[in-house]
Amino acid sequence: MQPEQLMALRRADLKTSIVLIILSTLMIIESFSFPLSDSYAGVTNAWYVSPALFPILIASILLICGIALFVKALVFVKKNAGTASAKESSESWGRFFLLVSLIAGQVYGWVPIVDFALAAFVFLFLFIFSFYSDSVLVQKKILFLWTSLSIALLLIAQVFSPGEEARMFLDWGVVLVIGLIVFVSKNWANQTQTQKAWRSSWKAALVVTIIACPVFRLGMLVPLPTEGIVIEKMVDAKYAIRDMWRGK
Amino acid sequence: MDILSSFSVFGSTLLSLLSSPTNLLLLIGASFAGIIFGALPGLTATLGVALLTTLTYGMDVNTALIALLGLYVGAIYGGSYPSILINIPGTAAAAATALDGYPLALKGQGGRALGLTTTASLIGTLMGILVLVVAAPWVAKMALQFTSFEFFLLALFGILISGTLTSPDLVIKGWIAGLLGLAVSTIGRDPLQFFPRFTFDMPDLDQGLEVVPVLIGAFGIPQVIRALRNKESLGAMQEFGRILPEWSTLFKNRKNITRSSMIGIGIGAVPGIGEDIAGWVSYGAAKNTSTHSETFGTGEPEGIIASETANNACIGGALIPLLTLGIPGSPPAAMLLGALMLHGITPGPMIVVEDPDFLIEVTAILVLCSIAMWINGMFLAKQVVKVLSIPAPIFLPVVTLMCILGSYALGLNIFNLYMMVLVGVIAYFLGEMQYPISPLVIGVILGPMADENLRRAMMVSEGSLMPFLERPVSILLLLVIVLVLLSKVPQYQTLKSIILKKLGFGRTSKKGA
Repeated sequence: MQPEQLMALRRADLKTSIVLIILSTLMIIESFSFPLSDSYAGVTNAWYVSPALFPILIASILLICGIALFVKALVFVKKNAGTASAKESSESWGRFFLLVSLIAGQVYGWVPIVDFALAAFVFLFLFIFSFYSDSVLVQKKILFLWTSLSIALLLIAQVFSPGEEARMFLDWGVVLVIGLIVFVSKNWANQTQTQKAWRSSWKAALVVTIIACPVFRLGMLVPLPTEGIVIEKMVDAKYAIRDMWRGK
Repeated sequence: MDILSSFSVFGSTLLSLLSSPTNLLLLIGASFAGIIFGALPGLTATLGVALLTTLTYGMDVNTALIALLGLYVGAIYGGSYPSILINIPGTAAAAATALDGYPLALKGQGGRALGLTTTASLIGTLMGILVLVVAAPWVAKMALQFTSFEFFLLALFGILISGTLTSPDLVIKGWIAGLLGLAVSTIGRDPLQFFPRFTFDMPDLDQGLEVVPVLIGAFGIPQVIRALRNKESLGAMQEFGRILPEWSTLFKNRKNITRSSMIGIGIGAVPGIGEDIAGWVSYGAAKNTSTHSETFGTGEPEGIIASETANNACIGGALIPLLTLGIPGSPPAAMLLGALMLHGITPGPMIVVEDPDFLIEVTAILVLCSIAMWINGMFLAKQVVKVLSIPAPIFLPVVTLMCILGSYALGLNIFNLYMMVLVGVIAYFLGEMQYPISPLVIGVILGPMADENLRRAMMVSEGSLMPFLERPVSILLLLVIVLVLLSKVPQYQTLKSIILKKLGFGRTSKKGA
């Protein structure tokens, strides 16, 4: 490891150790609120069978380790004060934020409220396009677009808690938004000469969605997180075909 | 159970599994999927087993085990493909294989290298199975004498040794990772009195964190983020011709194979240490004992055979503590433990009493899986290489979607997804700061066992710690734990060398030699 990288690592260790010390202290404090030697649910406790015993033990060792790490990192940093720390490029951080935004947005924003097939398609399309195109411009635009849409969906779910009918309207709205995203992103692809990546992205997203949703929902009978205008129709179609097959 | 009846159970299990075309298809399919998982850099055997666990939910135990073990065996072997063909290990377990595999491919002998790894992996797996079937009943019988004192210390030992040996930076980071796992395991109602701990009045936390989403988060999400953030791309693929097993080279390496198998099994049996360490240790041992160690790194078949035999032998070794003590020997075995529990099987010493045939059935399934791996390796290698040409920005988003589906499908609870993302991002940062993830996962899995057994032990002894020092196995485990801890203290090392010097065992200075 380069001296600059080691310095960055030890500086990070300093911060982590502080977090660990705080976390373990809070854990010890919280554990002391558990029944220690009094009675809980009609059971009289002794300290050695208390639910607090194990967490206190673990948190205490964690606290000691946190302090040891802090001391070790501090000694290193002071000893090598002249060494600069290695830094990640802003481009690398940009990719990191985009990745976290894509995954977190999908899980916290889209999946709980939008039909899973629609959510999966748009997620895959933007995810693949942003990294397959490898264009910083495209990545920045997708980060802004995806984060805004995810936050909007999260707010809709939390503030309005839409019912079944409202969700259906929302799904149609999402279909419209997906159409717009595909259209707008084609312009981005033209601007950045990444038309091939754009074509591969939507094709891959479509193929995976078309395979994954029926396999899980119809093949393995796993209900999907949100079933709306696409998944419900797919399930209806399955039963209609089955009835037709049986000659009903 | 006597040997004859064991053989009859083994034979009947093999026959019943082979007589079902669905099982055969599943076996070949899971093994192929495993090879793909192992071959694609960024995906691992652990993640493969984690994702497949969800799909096996509706299957009976034997069918589920065919799929899971087939994928496990295939993935450990599959890592050798990119190691040999593009000099990028598909899994950490195959990292040592790249040292000699890639130079061999550069010489135009990629097919030969793949043939050697395929057969060495088969032999390694079979050796591991042999030791598993011999040692497991013995270990289980011994473990039946264990009480809560020993089980608590065993769990502690597992986390400690895993933290000590897997930490890429300071050892203390490995221990911190294990302790964090144990801390996470305390979330939810406690196992003895059902008191809610760290639930913050959230009903979703009452049952604690589900193991599978936590494992998917810890292993899947960081890999996706790391690979795409660092723009990890594949190099130019080397051409390879026909894949042949080359029995004569393997026969010449019989000593190497035996030694590597033993190293793999031994390392696999130590809780929490995986196939990657087995591969490196075995490669190192082969190089040190070779009469032509200078050729290592230039395309030496001995090196490839050593690392590939050991990492696959590790599978049998890792299953010994898993099946007999309920303690996973490696990260994929940890995932397998979660899968077994999902199917209503609680591995541990009681398994030989409650289901005496189970061990033999697992052995039969493993034999089939290793054969399926060999067949796939010999005949479908070209198809695997085709999959390798899919760019990472296309397959990693698909893997992420599978992580989401897999985490949701087990409990049908969106809260699991929230936890998966949170754990994934934290695990990514921990990984970036050189904290090993295996001890964290082992901590999450062994936490409830450690907690429950510590309190049961204390209940029996009415708060006295003396029984820990009065029981022979307990004393042994305590001694090992103390030695592991002391071995990492510099002052102890200095003291040890002074004492050894005084006793006349000190090393002679190399300067004077």
